[in-house]
Parts: sequence; structure tokens; C-alpha cells
Amino acid sequence: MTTQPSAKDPTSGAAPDEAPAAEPIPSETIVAMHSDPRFLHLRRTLYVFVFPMTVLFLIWYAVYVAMSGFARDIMAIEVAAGFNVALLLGLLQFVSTFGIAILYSWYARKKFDPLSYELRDELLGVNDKKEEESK
Amino acid sequence: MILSTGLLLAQEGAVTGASRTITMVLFLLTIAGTLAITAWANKRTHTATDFHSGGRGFTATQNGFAIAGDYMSAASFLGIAGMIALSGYDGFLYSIGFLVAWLIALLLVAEMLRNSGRFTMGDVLSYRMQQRPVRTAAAVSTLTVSIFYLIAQMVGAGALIALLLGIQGDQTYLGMSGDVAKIMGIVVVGLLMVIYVTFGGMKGTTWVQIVQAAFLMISVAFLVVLTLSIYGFSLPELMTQAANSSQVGDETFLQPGLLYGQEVDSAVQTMWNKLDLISLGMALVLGTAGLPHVLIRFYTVPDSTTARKSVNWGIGLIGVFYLMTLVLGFGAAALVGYETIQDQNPAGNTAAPMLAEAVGANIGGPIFASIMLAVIASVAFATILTTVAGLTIASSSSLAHDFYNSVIRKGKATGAEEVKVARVVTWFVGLVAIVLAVFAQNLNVAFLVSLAFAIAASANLPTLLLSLFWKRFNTAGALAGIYGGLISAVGLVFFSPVVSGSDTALIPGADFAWFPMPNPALVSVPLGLLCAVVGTLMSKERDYEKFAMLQVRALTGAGAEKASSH
Repeated sequence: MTTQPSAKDPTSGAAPDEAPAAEPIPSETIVAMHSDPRFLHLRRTLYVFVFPMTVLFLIWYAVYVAMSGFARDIMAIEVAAGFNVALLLGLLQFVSTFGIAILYSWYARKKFDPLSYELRDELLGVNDKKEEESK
Repeated sequence: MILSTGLLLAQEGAVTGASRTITMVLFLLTIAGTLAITAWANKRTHTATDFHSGGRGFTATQNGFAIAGDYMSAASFLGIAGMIALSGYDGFLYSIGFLVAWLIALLLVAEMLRNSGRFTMGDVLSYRMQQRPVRTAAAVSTLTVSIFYLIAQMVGAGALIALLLGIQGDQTYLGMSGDVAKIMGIVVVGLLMVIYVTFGGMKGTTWVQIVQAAFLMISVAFLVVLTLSIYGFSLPELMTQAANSSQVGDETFLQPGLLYGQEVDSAVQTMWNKLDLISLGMALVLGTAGLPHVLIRFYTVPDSTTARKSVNWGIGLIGVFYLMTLVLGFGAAALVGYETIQDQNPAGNTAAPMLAEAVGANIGGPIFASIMLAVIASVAFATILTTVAGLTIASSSSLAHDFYNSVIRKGKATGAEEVKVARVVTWFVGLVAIVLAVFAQNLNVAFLVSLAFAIAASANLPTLLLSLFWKRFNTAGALAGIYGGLISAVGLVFFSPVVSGSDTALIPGADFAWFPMPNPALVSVPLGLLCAVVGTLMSKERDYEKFAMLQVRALTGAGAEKASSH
């Protein structure tokens, strides 16, 4: 078994009194996984959601703050008695924040987690498989 | 009728004797309760993982409450309620930045950090890099952010405890004058945070935060319901009343501009004021996911899925809390009134306790008023304690793990050794914070909170994201990013009207200000990012293999740190 143990990995310079680390995964197995089409698909699955969504909510927040500075006429318009555009947009920031959090959790659970778990299990079980093959 | 009862505090010039006694008793109960939790946690803290990360055994709900308890400081409870009470909409605007910021933590940081790090922010930053220089930089930045934030909290704590006990002017209580009470407040808060961290470690700190967040949510919800009941549960009625009793006396109270981006005679200054508002918004929204004490919370759960769920809990609690703060602020404006709040504290920091008293008096008479005041005051006290404890453990973990173990001992320290060092360092951090806070107590240090956020946004977040997502990123880039962001944020504030050249400046007589905005993020965040990118490209170092390992681990959780078995 060619283990290049993750002692090479700086964060797990495990101290003796620590909870025992999981069976170290050969680093070349991990590196190989990085170009595996399934991993690339996993990464794309994450990226296509989080990057556009981050840009979107940052722009939406920036527009809201900028309007509080530079579009005060619009912000002062009353949409209901005693309730103006500024307060409405502020409350919509809460709504969008909750909404994006819920949407992301749903997306991650449906699209990301299953594949992520599959690849993790494969990486963790890689030693056993190698042993089986060698028999 | 409503107004007259709300003036109790002002008429007496201080809190009444009964209320003072109840407040003191509740303060002592709070201290006793948190110490009991600490003692309990002390018995269950054995390994470095227990000390730094609470054994990684917390559930999503527990960590969500701890996130809320950690994050919601006195600045965000008393501070925002006061800002809304005095400046209406602009206070609300501030709270929104604090909330939206959590989406960055949720989408880009929490899960990958949990999977690829161990105890500190430095773990992830240094993963692909040369350990010693990058960990040193991470420790420097962690300490700077945490100490600035700590000083702001502790100075505030001293003043608040004096106010909450009603010691004003030349009055005394238990033989303490106002000035002595302030110093006592700082020292007590400082000692308590050191005790929580040294004895309870992350486990104790987390449980104190969980319990505090639950108490905070419940008591604030109770106060909100009582406040609304006075207005027949009609929010529009409350808002109208608030606007009428505000400093402007009309609906402009509900519009932007009373506090941020103020329009003045000079068109140039008006422009800078408005850009400063955007700069502040940027620091708030980008800073949260770079605050070390926030980041280490993600290590206390068993896996990345739990980290995600716990951030959702955090977002829910923090969001609901700020919506309730809106009612508190409007309630204080309507029931207590602008003048009364301002008399007590120019920043409005006692608006929420004053509202509690006014509502109590309005509904149940003077005794109920005293109880309500004491409850809200002690919840505020607990809010300060949990935030400073979180900041302290972030500092000592980083010093012990990033600096002592990796830099001095070259990664050879045992877990037990690391914990021992962390405990010693905690005393050091605590003493430094106490001394600095005592000396800073008469200075205008409110800017330190937004400065801490600006440093986190300029130095920590860009390097963290580039570490996780940019293949080419390297040691030189990380160092340039951290130091560049740190120096530009601190430097720009140093040359801003916050430090010199204005009436409210830190150094009143001097004037060496050339940077026009108190909030540096608008310039320092792009600068920090630019430093990181240029630094990277100027160095030939590249380690795509490490990047591959980091990404695979971060996205699959393979090889991630496990929860302790006990």
C-alpha cells in the first residue's frame, strides 16, 4: 500500500492526544480526484450556484445602500400610510436573505450533497478497495 | 399618558433603588450561571480539539444559537436599537448589512472552511502556502481584528454597566462613583472572559453563547410583544408615533439621511458623506465572513452539512432579532422620546433598557418597570460577555495554534502543550485588553467596531476566498493580501477625520487627516485584493497539487477533521 500519508498535509500534524484521525488517504488519490469528471461536475454544480448568487445579492445590496445615499426622493415615496420605499426595500433585503439561504440549502441538498458524499466515500474507502484488488 | 410614564428614568436622573437592586441581583445570577456552565465544560475539556473547537460535537441548532450569541454584540443589540430610536431608518440600514453578510459565510466560506481547516482561520490560509510566514500573518491579522473589537466592546461595557446600574454624574452606588464603576465594569468583563476561555475552552464559551442567545431572543420577543400591545398591535400606529416623537418630528425619520450620508452645505463633503455610507455598507457585508471569531464557530460542528445548517439557524435568529430591534427602536422613540434617550447617552445605547422600563411602567406599574429594566439590562450584560469571550478564544487559539505551534515549535507541539499555551496566552490577551480599554475609556472608540469589520473585509476575506478558489494563489500573494489589506485599512483610518482634524476626533487638537471618509473599506478592500493578486503574480511559486488537495477535501469532506468521540 503506497500511502503518502496526509502528514504531508500541514493541518493534520496530529498531536498524539488527539482523537485518532481517519485512515489517511493517499495524496495522489486525492490529486487524481481533482481532475475526475465527477469531481469537475461537483465543483461546477457548486460554482454555478454560489458565484452568480453572490454577485446578485451583492449588487442588490449595493443598489439598496446606494439608493439610501443617492436616490432619497425615490426612497421617500410612500407605498402605504407611513411606509415608504426605503423601508420596503429594507424589508425585502431580509426576505431575499432568508430566501437565498433556503434556496441554497435546497439546492445543496438535492444537487450537491449526494455527489459529494459519493466521492467522499470513494476516497475514504480507497484503501480497502486496493486491498481487495490485490487479493 | 404614554409619554409621562416613560420619563421615569429621566425624572429620577437615574435608575430607582429597587430596580438597581434587582439589576444587580440579575447581573450576579448571570455571572453565577455562566461560571457554572464553565465549570461543567471544564470537566469535559481534555484535548486540543475540545479546547479550540469544543470537540466538534455541537448540533446545527446549538451552533446556530452560539453563532447568534457570538455575533450579536452590545453594538448590535443596544447600539442598533439606539440608532433606530435616534436616527430611525439609518439604524435599520446598519442592521441589514450585519444580516446580508451571512450569505457570504453561507455560500462561500462555512462549509469549505469546516472541511479543510482544523482550529483557526490560519489553517485554511496557510494550507497551500509556506507555513510560518502565512500563519504569522494570519495570527497578526486575527489579533488586530480581535483586539480592536475587544477594546470597543469593553469600553462600551464599562460605560454601560455604569449606566445600567444608574450611576450617573457624581452619584455613587455601593461606594462606587461613576468612574470607578466604569473601570470595575471593564475589569469584571475582562476577568470573566478570561475565566470562560481558560477553564471552559470552546465548549464552555459555546454553551454560554447558546444560553445567552436563547435568553436574549426570549426577553426581546417579550418586550416586542408588550411594546406592540401598547399600540394595539398596529405597526403603522407605532411608526407614526415614533416619527412624531423623533428628533425631526415627522416622516423624514423613516427616510435615509439622519445619520449616514448627511447632506451638508458643501457639495463635496456631502458626496464624501454618501460615499462613506457605501464604504460602511461594504465593510459590514464583506467583513463578517472574515471575522476570526465567526470563522472558528464553523469548526465546532461534526461536518460541513451541519456547518451549513448552523449558518441557516444563525441567519434565521439574527434576522428575526434585527426585525425585533426595529420595533424596539421605534418603541423607544415613541415611548421614551428623543430628548430623554439623548440625555442619558448621546449614542442612544440605553434606548432598549429605557424602553423596557417605560413599557413595564405603562403596563404593570413601577415594580414591573423595575423588573423589565433589570431583565433587559442583564441580558445586555450577557450579550457583551459572550461576544468578548468569542473574541478572546479566537485570539488565544490563533496565538497558540498558528504562532506558537507552527511558527515557534515548527508544528511539533503536542495538543496538551498547545492547550497549555492557549490558556496562558488567554491571560495575556485579557490583561492587554483590560489595560487598553481602561486607557481608552474616555476616548471615542465607537469607530473600532467598523474598523475591525473593515480589516476583516480587506485583509482576511480576499485571502480566504483566493485560497479556496484561485489555483495560482501563493505565499507571496497571501502575505501581500493580509498585510496590504491590514495596513491600508488601519492606515486610511489613521489619516481620516476619525483620528484627527475634526471635532469628534481621537486626537482633538491635531490635524493630519487627508483621507475624507471615516470608513476605509471602499478603498482598502480593493487595495487588499489588488495586493493579493499582484503579490501572487510577482512570485513564481505555484503548487497545483496542494490546490487540488485543498479543493477535493473542501468539497467532498474527505480527510476532514472528525468530532471527538467523547
